[in-house]
Amino acid sequence: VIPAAFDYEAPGSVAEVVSLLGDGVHVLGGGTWLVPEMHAGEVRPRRVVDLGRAGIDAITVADRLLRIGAMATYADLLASADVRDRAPLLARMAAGITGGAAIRAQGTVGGSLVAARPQSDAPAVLVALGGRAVVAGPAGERRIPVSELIAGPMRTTLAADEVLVAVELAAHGAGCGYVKLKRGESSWPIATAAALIEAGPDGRCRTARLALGGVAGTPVEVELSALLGGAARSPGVLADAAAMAAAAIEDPWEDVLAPAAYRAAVAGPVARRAIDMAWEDATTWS
Amino acid sequence: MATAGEDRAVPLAAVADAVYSLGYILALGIEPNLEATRSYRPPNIRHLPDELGRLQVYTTYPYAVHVSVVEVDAETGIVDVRRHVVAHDCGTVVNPSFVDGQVTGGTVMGIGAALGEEFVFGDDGVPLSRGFKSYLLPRAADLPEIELEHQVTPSPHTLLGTKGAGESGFAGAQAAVFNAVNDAIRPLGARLDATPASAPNVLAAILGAA
Repeated sequence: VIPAAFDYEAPGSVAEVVSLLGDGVHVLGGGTWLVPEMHAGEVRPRRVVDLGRAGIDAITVADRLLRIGAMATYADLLASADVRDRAPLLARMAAGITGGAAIRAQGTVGGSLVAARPQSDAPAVLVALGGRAVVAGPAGERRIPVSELIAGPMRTTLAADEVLVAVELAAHGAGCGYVKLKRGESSWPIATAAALIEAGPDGRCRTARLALGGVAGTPVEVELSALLGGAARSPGVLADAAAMAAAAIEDPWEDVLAPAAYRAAVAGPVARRAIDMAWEDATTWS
Repeated sequence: MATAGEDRAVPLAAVADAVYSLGYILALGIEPNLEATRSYRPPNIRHLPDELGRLQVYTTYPYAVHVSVVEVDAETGIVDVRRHVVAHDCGTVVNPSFVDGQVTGGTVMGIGAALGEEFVFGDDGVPLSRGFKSYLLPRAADLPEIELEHQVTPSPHTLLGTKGAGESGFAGAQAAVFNAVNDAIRPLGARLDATPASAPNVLAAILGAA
């Protein structure tokens, strides 16, 4: 039972959503976070604005950009040929979402991003993909890098009268790797690594992108192109990349499932495995 | 039905019929119920110590042997249970599917205790393990199929030769899995002396030994 009264609105357009936002207003996406929090009395919104009828659940392609509506679910990602072809990393992430089919059909990419939980899959993956957040407010839309949308653990840079309506991604032809470390099927992710590698016909790395999740309060981008550019895949190179990834974590996250020291220790191995997987993918894909 | 010490008897059926059809002709203070009480005493219970000071407070002792094969990721401390075999003896098996379920359930509970289940408290004493996302139970996909072998040695001390079937899963599984983890990390010079053998604890032991 939700212990506090609140107003419920389910407007039919983004403009109406924006007009209903403000202090004390919570936005309802898939509801996998908000509804349990309301039941537990941890949040007591005066108004809940449901995005379910706002028409922002489509996955479309325009101007070479893949646009994921904020209300698209993980199941929608898995069902989309555009996602599979243009952002296979996103499809790979969606297939491993904790909670099974029920959560995949309910949870939304936009919701995960705005919740900004350090342990969630989507934020670091969207950072690795160089995603841009489409934000609607009273003055219209603005676009910011996903990494700038996330302000800190469970915090975004959205103003009280703004709402995330989509994430835009440039299609990538890179090989991709995604590694998620968790303590068991029922565990939140402890550490995730999302890697994108482009390789030449000789197998040498051209470009590399890596983002780590779960290991710090916000996704950690690791600049690897200088290290890996022109390099051939070898255990030594992968070990150097892992060391660079581990060194990029300044303030490791900690929760009831794993202390900071553990996250700092596994970040390197998890990064190395994701890079290796992406490199393998890049050299077998074309 | 006969009255002790007297030469009078009535068939039981007549008594039952009288209680059913004429019970209310009795005085108000007399309950018109048929009632029988029996108590059973297992013959091998000993509540007073014998000459060696030994007590015998439980009727039967089921026993089991657990063999667990685990794989430990030395870089992350993640433990993967690859095989778990239980040979147990609960005496006469009355209902095989119930016994399989009891032993499997107990074994999984033991594996969970060995690897994941832990009450965590904050420095202020507030419990931090408040649900099944923070208190980790094994799920089906975390486990191999538990392989069961039944040995049937009927107990001479129970009516049907049965022994307990619920107990033999838990403790043996916990010990076998925990020992398997220690066996796996021994070449690294590492050893755990407390459950759970969770990934953070296993990795801390490995890194501490290096």
